[in-house]
Amino acid sequence: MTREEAKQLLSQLADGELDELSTRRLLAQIEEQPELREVWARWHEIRQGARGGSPQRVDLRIADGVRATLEEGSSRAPHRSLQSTLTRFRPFAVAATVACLGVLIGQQWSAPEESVALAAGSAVPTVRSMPVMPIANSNGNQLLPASYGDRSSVTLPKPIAVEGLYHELARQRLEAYSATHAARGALHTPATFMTGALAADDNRGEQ
Amino acid sequence: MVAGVATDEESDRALVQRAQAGDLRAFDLLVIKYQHRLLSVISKFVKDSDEAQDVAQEAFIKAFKALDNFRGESAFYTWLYRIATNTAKNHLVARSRRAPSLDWDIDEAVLYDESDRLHEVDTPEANLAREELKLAIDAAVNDLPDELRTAFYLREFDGLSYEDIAAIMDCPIGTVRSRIFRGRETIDSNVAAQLSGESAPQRDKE
Repeated sequence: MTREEAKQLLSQLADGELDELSTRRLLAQIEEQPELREVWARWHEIRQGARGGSPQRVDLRIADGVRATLEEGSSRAPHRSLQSTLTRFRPFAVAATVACLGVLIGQQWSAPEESVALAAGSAVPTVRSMPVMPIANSNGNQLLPASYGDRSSVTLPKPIAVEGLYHELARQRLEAYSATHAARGALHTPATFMTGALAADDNRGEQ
Repeated sequence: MVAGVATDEESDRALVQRAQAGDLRAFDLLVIKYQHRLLSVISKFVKDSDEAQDVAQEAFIKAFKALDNFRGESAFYTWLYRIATNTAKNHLVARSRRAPSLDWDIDEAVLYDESDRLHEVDTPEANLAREELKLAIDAAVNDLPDELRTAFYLREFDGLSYEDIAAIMDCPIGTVRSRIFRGRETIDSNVAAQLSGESAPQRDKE
């Protein structure tokens, strides 16, 4: 686009007679021909003067300052948009975390039931993530877990190993919990307080 | 309605829409268009010239950030005017100065500004320079060939569309577009030096 063509479009824009597509083309052209900004400024001062107002000398300091500030802000915009994107996905992340916790808790809840069933000598295929509901067998009054399939043909070494892991994990958690509370409790017991006070007295006595 | 206001609103609407879509170049044209008018409004509150420029800049930045809230229910300049006066008042409050009571009706204030009364506190030198510019523009408009001057007047004073001007002047719209553009170009070439702050060219005395 030549300078003359760009100015013709600028004139139409000043009159509100330029379509959207041409407006976009013109704005892109102003980027390449920055002197068009001054032309735009002069035309509006001329308009002001022709309408009986009082025109002023063209001074683009304010416009330059605003432009520089906004361009600086928009160069930081990707960071902000990433942040806003993360913010937007926060509810999904929370929901996913809650779902994962639910699955884990469900698995731990089912583990003792399985151990009961296995301890009763029945290697029965069970749904691992669901608690096993025992039912009464009308023939021998023996409690059996509800299940599908042939119990005699199925052996389950892996679930036992997983079950062992759960037990181990639960045991470690219990130990850690006990150790933490024992340590905290010790800090607040009268014995500890007295021990500390006696130790302080000993120190004073030595001095 | 003030002559030419409809024209401004049409032009502003196109630029505001682009600016709302995040086009800084469109907003830049709006800033260039209104910076002097806004500065004269702010100067009523903030007397120091440099400080007033800073406040004007801040007002435009606030306007850009709030542009999504502009629904086009009022003219863009009216909306901008409110932001500018609030920014100026807040500036004075932040500086522990009392804002002058200029709480007049917003539409009245805009018209008051249009009629140029807000410049009354300017220095005599600045007023003289403006008066010279105005005379130069008037002379340049009067020097236009009849066809260009008629098209230019119908557009700038009566706010007529290209289509209406074409009907009045009995010519194609393309011709109207070209006449208004050439009229602007001719006036601009006569007053560009003065508008840019250079010395006024000597006009031939007939």
